[in-house]
Amino acid sequence: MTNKVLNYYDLSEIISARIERNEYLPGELLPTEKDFISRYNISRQTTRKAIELLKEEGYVRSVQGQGTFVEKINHSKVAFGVINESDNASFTSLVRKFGIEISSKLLATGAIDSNRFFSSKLEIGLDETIFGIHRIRYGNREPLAIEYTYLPLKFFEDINKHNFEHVSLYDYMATKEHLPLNFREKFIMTQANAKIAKYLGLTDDLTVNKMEITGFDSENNIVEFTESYSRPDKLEVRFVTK
Amino acid sequence: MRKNLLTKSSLIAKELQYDIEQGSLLHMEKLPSERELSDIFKVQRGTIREALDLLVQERLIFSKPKVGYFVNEKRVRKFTNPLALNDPSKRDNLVRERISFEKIYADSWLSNQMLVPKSSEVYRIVIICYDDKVVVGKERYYLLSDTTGTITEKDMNTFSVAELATKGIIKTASSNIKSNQKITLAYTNSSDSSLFGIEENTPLLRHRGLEYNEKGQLVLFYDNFLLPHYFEFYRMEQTYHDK
Repeated sequence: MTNKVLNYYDLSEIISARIERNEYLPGELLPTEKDFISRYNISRQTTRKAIELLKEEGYVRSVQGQGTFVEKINHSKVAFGVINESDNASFTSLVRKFGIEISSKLLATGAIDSNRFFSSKLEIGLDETIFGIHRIRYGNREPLAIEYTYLPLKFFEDINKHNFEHVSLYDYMATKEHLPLNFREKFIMTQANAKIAKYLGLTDDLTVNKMEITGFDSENNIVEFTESYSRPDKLEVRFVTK
Repeated sequence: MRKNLLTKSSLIAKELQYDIEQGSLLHMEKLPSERELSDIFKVQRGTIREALDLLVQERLIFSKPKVGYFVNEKRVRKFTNPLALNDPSKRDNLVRERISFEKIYADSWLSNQMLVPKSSEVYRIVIICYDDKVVVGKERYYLLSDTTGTITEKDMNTFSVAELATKGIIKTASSNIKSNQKITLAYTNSSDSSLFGIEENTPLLRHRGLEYNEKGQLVLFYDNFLLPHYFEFYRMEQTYHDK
């Protein structure tokens, strides 16, 4: 094994594995190029390419004149937005597949009068009422996303009797025969506002994923409009068509 | 509960967002003044300021000190449907400049990304995207020569990357075409920061995708680095029909 000459990819794999095993800790200075060159008997170019790749993958970050630092760990990254015709978009079901313990905390729920914004998103009248559910989603007890979900109250009149910290919203919607089956999504990266940054624990870089999800039931009624803000370092957004 | 779910300022921010999305406030247009807005919405100026702050933070508007608030530029729309880049109605209007075209053999990184054996023959095309002379993206396309066949410099000058990737794909079968895309956050390295004219370690949006032909063979891998606030991505179910 030791006789084999390492290429840049091998080196990047060695380093990323160490970061994932917490041998190199977030914020720690990575060994210098020189260290890697003498330790593995490789060229400067190989070392540089490996570091560039680690930067692209978000494992490390270079600071001019100081060196290369280990970034926040990436191994808890989970996929989000894996939606296709057969799956539904429930956050819990999506993320559960990746073996992460998911929990939610309710921030607020309640009925409000619709306005022009919500009426256009939910395609309902201005005189109608909507029901909002604001939740923080945790993966392994770390905040991953904050979700603002709005439903037309007319389809879910007893919604106030349920606590969606423990009951799946989609299970409930299915009992009302208004389970969203088709989705339209819009994704952007934007800046977290102060409140969202606080909930998600963002301090330095405030870039967040924002996904707007519109859910249609079997009769093509819009039954859900969700604005989800998630941490790009924790959630990887995927679009999959099978 | 009725008033508590959203604050007055968030509700006003949503109303203004509606005006922007519906086009009654145009991109780069100046918003009414704080005073005018407080008359329109019948709330105090402090509440208006909070609403405007929310929109500034979300980059829907920006403020010019002593002048007022303006609606931000419209984001460039991208579609995540399989091979959307081959559909004229889904193409963006960015100016593209091809900076390189070469035949390479997949190294370990590329074979891992494309899920193809090492040393597979791949055509690599690097393109810089401009919006009004500003660099907004660097696109790297990797076409697998096994499925696309030989591509010459002349083909490159005649066809788009998408056309080359879809050589031999039956158009009507496009709904069965598989694609697998992901979006992550990356930070600029030194060469990209000079390309984009931004500081090193600035956030970039990284959009990677694998696209397959109707036989399920991989035709294309792309790895694009984009300015995060210039783009928006859309996905619609094939079964969804606009009313």
